[in-house]
Amino acid sequence: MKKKLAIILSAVMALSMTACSVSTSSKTTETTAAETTAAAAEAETEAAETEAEAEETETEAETEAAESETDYPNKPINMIIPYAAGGTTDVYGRTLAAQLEKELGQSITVTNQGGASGSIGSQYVKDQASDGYTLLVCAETMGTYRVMDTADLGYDDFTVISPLVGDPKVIVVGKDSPYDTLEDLLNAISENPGKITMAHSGPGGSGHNQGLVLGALGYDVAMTSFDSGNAALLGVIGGQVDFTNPNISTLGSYIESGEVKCLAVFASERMEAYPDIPAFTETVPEAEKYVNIPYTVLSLLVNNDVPQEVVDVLKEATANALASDEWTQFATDNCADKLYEKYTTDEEIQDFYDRWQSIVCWLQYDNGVAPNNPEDYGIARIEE
Amino acid sequence: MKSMDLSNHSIQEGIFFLFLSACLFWYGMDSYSNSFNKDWSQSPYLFPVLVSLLMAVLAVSLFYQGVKQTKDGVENESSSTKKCTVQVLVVLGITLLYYVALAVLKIPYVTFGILAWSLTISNFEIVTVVFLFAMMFYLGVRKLPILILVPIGTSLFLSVTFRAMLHVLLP
Amino acid sequence: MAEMLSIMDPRFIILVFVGSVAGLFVGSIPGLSVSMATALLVSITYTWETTDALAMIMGVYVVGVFSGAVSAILINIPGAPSSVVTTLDGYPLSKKGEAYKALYYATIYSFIGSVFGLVCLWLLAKPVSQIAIKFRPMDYFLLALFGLATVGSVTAKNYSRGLISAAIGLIISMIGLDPLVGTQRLTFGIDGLKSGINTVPALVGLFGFAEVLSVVYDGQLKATVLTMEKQKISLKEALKHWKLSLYTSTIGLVIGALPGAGGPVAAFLSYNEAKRIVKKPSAPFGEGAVEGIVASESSNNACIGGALIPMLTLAVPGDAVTAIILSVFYVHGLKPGPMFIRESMSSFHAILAGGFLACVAMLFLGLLVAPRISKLISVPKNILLPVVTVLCVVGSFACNNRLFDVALMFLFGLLGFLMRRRGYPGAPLVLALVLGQTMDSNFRRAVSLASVADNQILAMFGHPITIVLLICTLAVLLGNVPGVKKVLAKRSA
Repeated sequence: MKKKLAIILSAVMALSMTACSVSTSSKTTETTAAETTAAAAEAETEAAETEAEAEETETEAETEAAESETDYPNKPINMIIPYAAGGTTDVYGRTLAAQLEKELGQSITVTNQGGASGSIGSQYVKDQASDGYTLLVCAETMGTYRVMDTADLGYDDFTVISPLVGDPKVIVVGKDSPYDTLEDLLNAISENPGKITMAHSGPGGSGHNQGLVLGALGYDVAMTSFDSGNAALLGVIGGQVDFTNPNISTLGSYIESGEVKCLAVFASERMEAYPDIPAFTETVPEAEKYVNIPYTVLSLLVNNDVPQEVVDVLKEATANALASDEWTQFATDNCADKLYEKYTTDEEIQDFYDRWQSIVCWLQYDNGVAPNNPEDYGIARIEE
Repeated sequence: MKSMDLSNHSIQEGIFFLFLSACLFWYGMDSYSNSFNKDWSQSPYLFPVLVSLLMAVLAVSLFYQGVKQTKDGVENESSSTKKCTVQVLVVLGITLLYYVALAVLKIPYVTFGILAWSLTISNFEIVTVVFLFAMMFYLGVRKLPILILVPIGTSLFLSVTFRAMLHVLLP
Repeated sequence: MAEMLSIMDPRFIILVFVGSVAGLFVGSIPGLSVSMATALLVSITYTWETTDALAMIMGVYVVGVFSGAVSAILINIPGAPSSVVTTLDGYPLSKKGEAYKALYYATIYSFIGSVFGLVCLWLLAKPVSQIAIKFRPMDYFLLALFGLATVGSVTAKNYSRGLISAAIGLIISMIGLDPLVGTQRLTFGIDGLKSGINTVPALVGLFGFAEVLSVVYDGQLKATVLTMEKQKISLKEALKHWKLSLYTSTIGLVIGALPGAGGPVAAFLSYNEAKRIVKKPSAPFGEGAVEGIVASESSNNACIGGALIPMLTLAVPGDAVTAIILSVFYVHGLKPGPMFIRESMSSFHAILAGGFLACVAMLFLGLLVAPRISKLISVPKNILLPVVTVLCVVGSFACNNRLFDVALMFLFGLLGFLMRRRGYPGAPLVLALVLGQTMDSNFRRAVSLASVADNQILAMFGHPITIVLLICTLAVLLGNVPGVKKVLAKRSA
């Protein structure tokens, strides 16, 4: 036994020495090309990396690549979730990764890199090589980083593989609240402008944006930001705040236990799972132009100069993964708005993101939430 | 002024923290005047200003203590152990090099399959071995087996548990 | 009960045990944190059965929280913010060569605290969750302020120095995006600072790397970490502090059940209480009083049960670890919330059973294995410290997969080293860093909510909990003003 161990150890040491020699060579390439073409140098090391990798795997599998133009993917893929483990984005991202692994035949390592509304992780992905081996599952804040002055990032820095899901938002009040219908609530807001309090999930987030929509429709509410959608909900249940607008996916058991009253879903249609909750437009028809887009949007992205062949492979695999029974079951259980079914072609997807970005960015800027003018970033106001 | 003995720690620190709180106060006020949100109760700069005021109070109290100490002729508490500032600087230097090596070097990933394990050797493993060796040597370890086995053992252990078994990224 | 027993097949027990060993490993190695370990478990247990996943996670969670005390006692490097308090008396004990005793007390009272918390979770989940609902933003602010105010008096000989350390922590906690409006504060254009300062690199640097530097500075390299002798401690003697333990466990339970406060606050407040109640400690507090370990370990372990209550009944996590456990629930299709305990009885029982089993495993590991591990740790410092440095690097990197956090860790190490040289305790800084965001956002939230009311002062302070907390906080703050202190001393004399 000991002998075996010794052999292994010495083998390891010998191998690490060879690794050392490889390293010095690649270091020199980098230092020579360092300043002028950092990108090129990176591509070179990348190439060296794949070469080394290819040498390693030579004995195992040689010829799977011949099937298509690109041999992507031939090594494990990283998926970055730019939020801490535990959030909606994380849960959906991991569920998708499990299905995508089956389609692509390579393992996908899910890594959380949270912070700054998801801009830290997104920036990390942008800084990685554009080879399609780093995927990003992001939330809707991607569209507002620039106007919110969070980071110099936007959807146009990435290629959208597919929009994933939206999480419908519901307007709820506590069970002892005097408001039984959306009309009651809106009338109260009209009568006491700026006196009805609303809790939302965080600055520039979907809950906040929806509050801004209420403002744009002429309903002046006093908004207060909480740490999360659930914390905002607790404020309502504890009677400290008049109403809030959580995502339906986290609301299920509160509806069952009767601790909240749902006044409306913030959309133009009722939800399949909760046909009793009226749609917002049933009471306020003029809200149509605001509520026909979802306010929480998860998307799967890659860097925008990833080769087209790789993007195609990813798009196909993602479409299959999203059609799988497991994913469909999961999405249905969480009452998700299946955006990938609504926006299928490249034009529709592009159009959707442009429209979303325009509406939300202008809402934020007009209400003094976002400091930067959307026009500076080429985001035109949509006139309807 | 005999009471203003600048070598007293409390006086030094009192001045330092007063300066710090002034900086913070200035930062808060300056940012507030440039921000587009002019409601103090909701301004993100309310809290910095409050903390700077708290700190100013504490700094003054520290300063006052220092003045009292010098009046009473209290010396700084000196630790009796010998002080090795140079060593600390060298250790900091070695760790700085370690950090720079982790950040800058890009050593290709080399993966080995050993029995059922796959082992990846990259810059973390190599730089760590070098770092541990250097640091232990500097701190006075002279037994060759330890100098070789501990670095290799540590980095292999971390590599196997984190990279191979748990799929965690390493620096 | 029967249902709970039916879950306990050998497989379940083994998984809890494996989790416990992993928890001991992660918790007692400086630099590696329990939240990191649970985050890893999310991806590992993703495809498992729900009960299996819960078994493993409970094992890691319960034993991980306890074993933060092991490194706190042995090498003065707490494994998690909630074990910071344990270093105050644990490390002095081991310097005296009584590490065995410290570990023994830590194990026994962690066990009592954990069991207490879990029993309350089992029987009192509903009423305790109501406390969390009753707490208003102003109450969270005052609770945090109360915690910080006690910290100064707990840790430093000099109250101003303790509070200055806390103020530095508050400044550091402000770095990053503002929680209410989303503008950048104190980032100075550095991209990496936008996400704010994570607790892990700060803790690891302030206690881990700073310890390395301090030892080098003091030139104590050739000394071994400690000599450990097995002492005979009678259980009866050790259990003498059960009253204190139950009291501090209750504090831990309630504070654990409040989202955002968590273990560190509970441990500090309990320590402060212990200091107030126990008139004749076994040794002066801060110099190896077992009562300090009793208070800190009972309360931070009772926090486990406490933190699980709002997570299960309200879907709001009590701390970083329960936030991750929450995602495990979602991944497995479970929906925590007011109906959870009724509807997902078997999962609830799996959590309880896993927790209780983990307590047993903790007792076993703590009494039999930890003393043996600590022999491993008692290698010469010139070998141990370089390895500790590497672990600090790995731990701070792994918390968010950024090299930037490693740089931060080194900076905090330097800061912690300088602070120690000048007699500033690190503990208030860590607590303030954990609480800063809560204080800032809840204060402004309270003002914002009150702004619509007719009588704003009444809206902010006119609630029973708020009044009690306000009085407590003012009492602690005023009691430490030098002038008032003199008057009080005169009166009692």
